[in-house]
Amino acid sequence: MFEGLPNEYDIIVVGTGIVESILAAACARIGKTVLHIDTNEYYGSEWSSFTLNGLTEWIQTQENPVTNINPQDDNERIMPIGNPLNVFRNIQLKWNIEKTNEQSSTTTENDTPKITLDVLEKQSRKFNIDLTPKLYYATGGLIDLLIQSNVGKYCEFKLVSRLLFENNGQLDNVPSSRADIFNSNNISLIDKRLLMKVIMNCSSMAIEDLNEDENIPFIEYLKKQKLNDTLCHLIINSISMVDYNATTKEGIIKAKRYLDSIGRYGNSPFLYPLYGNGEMSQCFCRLCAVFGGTYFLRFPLAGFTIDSLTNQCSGIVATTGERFRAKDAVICNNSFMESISSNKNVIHRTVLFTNQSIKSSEKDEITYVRLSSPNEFGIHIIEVGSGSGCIPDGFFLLYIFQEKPQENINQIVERLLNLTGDNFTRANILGQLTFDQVETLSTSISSPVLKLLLTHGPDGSIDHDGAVNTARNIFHQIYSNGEEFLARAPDPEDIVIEDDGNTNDTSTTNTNTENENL
Amino acid sequence: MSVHGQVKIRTSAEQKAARERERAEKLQLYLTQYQSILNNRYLLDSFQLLKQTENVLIDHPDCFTLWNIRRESILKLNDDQQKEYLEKELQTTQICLKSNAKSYSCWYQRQWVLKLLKDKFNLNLYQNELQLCKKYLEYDERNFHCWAYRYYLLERLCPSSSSSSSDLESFYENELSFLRSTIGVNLSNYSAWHYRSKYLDKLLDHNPSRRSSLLSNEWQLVLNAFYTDCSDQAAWFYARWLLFKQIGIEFINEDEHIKPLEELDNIEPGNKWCMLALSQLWKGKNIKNDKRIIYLEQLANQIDSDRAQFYRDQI
Repeated sequence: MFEGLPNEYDIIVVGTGIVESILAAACARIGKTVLHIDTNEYYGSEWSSFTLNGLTEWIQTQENPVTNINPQDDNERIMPIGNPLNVFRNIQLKWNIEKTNEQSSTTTENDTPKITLDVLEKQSRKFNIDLTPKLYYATGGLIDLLIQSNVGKYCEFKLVSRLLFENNGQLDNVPSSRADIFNSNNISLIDKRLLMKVIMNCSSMAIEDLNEDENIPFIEYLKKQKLNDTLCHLIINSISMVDYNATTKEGIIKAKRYLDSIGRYGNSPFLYPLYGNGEMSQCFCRLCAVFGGTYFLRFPLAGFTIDSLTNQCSGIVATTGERFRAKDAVICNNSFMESISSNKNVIHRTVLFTNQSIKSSEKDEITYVRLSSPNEFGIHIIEVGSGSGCIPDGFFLLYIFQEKPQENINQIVERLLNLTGDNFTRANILGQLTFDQVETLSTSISSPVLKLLLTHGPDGSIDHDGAVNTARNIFHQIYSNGEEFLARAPDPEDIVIEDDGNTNDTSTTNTNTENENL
Repeated sequence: MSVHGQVKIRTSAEQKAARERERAEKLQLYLTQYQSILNNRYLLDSFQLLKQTENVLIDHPDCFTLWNIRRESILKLNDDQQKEYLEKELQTTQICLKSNAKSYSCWYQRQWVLKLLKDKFNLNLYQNELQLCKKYLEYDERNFHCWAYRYYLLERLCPSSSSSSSDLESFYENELSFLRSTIGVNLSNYSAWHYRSKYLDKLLDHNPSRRSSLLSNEWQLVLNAFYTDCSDQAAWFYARWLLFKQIGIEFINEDEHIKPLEELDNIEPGNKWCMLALSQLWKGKNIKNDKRIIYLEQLANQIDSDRAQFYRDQI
């Protein structure tokens, strides 16, 4: 099975999650030979997206066979891998609809066809269900990286068109731009002025100007600006998106991020990838492959080879005994470490399959709601419809997860239903998927050996900043002599083919070649 | 990687040189084509001239002479052909607008076409044109060519005074609502506010009985605008027109009009628009207020000294 595959590389990357994929692309980009593997038969690891049938398969396949390999000589030690799928626990998928129409015992006199599971399964390909739903700030973070590296041309995005918040027992639009505030009927004239003032201040001020205010709680600072409770809640919860005990400095930095991101692509600060978050890993893998990276999915990985003398990781070994060496480093997702099983920090994730939006609209929307209150961690709710390419027409996916788990999912769903009123009720929830995802970002699993660098999975936040920073840090750890991290790939017009040795005639030769190609 | 040569990536100096070469070639081509058309102007027939000018205008839509030649050529055609070519002209100008959405020549040409087609008035044609305007305004809401063209179209589409009164009224209201949504997207859109004043005028003339409710609503809209963004001049100019030209000094009342501005002034001291508006209102209503002179002096000496004399004249 390994015929034709070289055994030596500069870098071996294990796992195709976002952090690993960014690193694989960055290393290939500076000319290193990269072998990028995954034990799964799909890209993305914990960050992938599945079709409906794919999801069912994933739920059933939580086992990976583990094989014992013996060291080939005294200088070598083998460190076996754990089961990377152990990061997922308590997976439950419950449908509230019948499997097929024949099972339905009630005879319907009216002609409305009841939605059955097999109808959804027939359209399985139209589903792209994220294991790790995330949104993308229009400035900074992953979007800037996509643009800078030119990987952006491999993917498409849609604007998260609707941002809602909890206001007086219902879900209202978050007014965050001048236009929103102008058009809002729910804010008094004076409050409009005060709100605009605070927003413009947040955008334009330098953090240094805060002076003593820097460390006071953000909520106090906002009250000093004469904002009422509702507006303070709006800014803390839906614009800065910090917890109530955040400092003013944190609040303003995040508010700036949000406000700077509005207007770049539209009247909202967030983007969502067409066809789901699983696309992201694949885009970086594509760049890696373009620059010569080698890909191997469903790789039968047994463990890592460690050089006993230097205690350095020298590469990986397959269950067949075949060994692959890495000269510079092995990068591996920490879900492959056996010790991950004892990890207690989890993110509770829920996906609801619904046939009605939480708030009706004339057009297709991608909606984000952040719920929170004092003493509570933020609850993220993302709703996508068929326009996102993630679900067939007439249905919606509702992702719910909490920054750090505090409330149980039933309480959260109950709370949401109280806000949606008659438009969206329990009857609209066709199915519910819940699972726990071990949170491996903040858990510092230190690498047991040199030259084995560990990455991590997603956290409970709404964005990717943590992942991008880790990738950058690891890259500079391995290559610390000023190599550029994901430099821009050249535009096609600037690439010319010239004949060997004809450097004097470069200009004319190039023009002619160009014209021929046109 | 090619078998023969190396892959090489251009440096920025080379990129610049390449761009210069490209531009020089383009210029050469244009001059050759242009000269050829002028030389052969009286030798070629209308159809040939139309074809040749089209090729050049698509990339260089601002060449007046070539548009003149097109108009000449179309006018030489017989009635049926003329109609056909006039309608084609709309498509041609649309393509040219892609090069330059603010080309005087293109927009003028469209008006010229519609004027000639006037006798064969086609409602669909006008509706299509309105859609086009809407699209171009979405690309650039400040494209004044597009605004002017839109108003030309609306004049044509306006129900005549002989049609029912409610038709005319809903026509004006539709337009006001379009303008409202444009302002809703960007309240700095001066063109939108300007046209709003025109249509409000027309609606008020047409139906004077709605005067007080319309003006009241309008005042709320404009208050909303400067409470949201007190530094945006479009709304202030509109407010000045609304207060002094439409509502009129006798109907300005303290509670509805002056108090909100005074409150705004408290929250935003030093805002020149607010201070000026208040000074003018206090004077107009003969309200004795020491602040008036203080404000005008502050405006003249510190806040907006470029227009010092304008403020001093009001004292």
